[in-house]
Amino acid sequence: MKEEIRKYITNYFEGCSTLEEEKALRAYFTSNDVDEELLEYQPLFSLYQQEQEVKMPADMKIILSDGKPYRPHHYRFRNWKMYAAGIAASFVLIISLYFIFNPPTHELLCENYVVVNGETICDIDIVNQYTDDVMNKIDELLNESDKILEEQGKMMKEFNISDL
Amino acid sequence: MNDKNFARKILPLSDQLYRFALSILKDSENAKDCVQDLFVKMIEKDRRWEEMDNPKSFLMFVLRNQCIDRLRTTKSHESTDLELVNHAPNPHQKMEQKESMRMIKQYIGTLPEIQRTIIHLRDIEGLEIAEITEIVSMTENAVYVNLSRARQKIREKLNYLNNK
Repeated sequence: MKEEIRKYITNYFEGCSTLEEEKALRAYFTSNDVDEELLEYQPLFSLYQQEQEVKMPADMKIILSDGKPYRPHHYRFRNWKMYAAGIAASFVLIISLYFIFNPPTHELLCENYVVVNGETICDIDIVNQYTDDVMNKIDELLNESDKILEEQGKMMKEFNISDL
Repeated sequence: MNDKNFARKILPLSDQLYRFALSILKDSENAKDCVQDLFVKMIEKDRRWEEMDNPKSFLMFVLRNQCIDRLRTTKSHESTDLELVNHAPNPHQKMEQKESMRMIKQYIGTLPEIQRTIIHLRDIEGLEIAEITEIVSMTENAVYVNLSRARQKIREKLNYLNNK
């Protein structure tokens, strides 16, 4: 018996034992008749035997009486979280699409604004710059007009047109 | 429960499925949740098991993937308590054996997931190598190699504990 068990143990640790040999090892080592020399292997096969006897906890509900499967707490919570995330994502998507197709006007974004050539401007510095540019242009135009009038006056004097 | 097929084909495997999940997750609550998830999935989404004569390998394959997914998210490596079976004749030996079993169990828990899974399927559940190849999606040769390596490591640990 002892030699047979030794052979099974050798096969076992080499990974070439049969299921029957492994069964025999478990049976031998869980008995109270283990040879002194083989005692070192007893905890291993006892552990296997003990693990084999582990049952699913009795408090585990499998199926409810109405035929629907029982869902673990985390499963229900996960579903709830998924629904909440879905609603939030839809909300963000709708808002984003609204602003993509209806871009906000500057009137909504600033208190005071001016419209120059169809462009709404809120920045006071840019508005001032525009105003200065326009005033300069007007100034230039007035200067040019003055020059023209002056030249025309001179010409009229030269040809005595003023008497006409 | 209305689903007779489920009661006939899957429910009898509950303990085995729970033990398998426990061996991977090392946490009773997570193992229970994973088995529940599996049941819900088998009832509501994936009915392939109905056409199988023996859906055990298929269920274990799906369960293993679920457990690995859960391991990635929870990183739970708590060990479960040992409830020992009386095999040793006296209290001193009993205590020593209890301690050795605890250490071996802890050591097996530190093995790579694939070796731990193969050890569980073979040494605790007593599955044929062909069934294990289906569950872990490996060749027969790769399963033998992993089984042999895992057992060699366990033997080294046993020798170490014995010589301490």
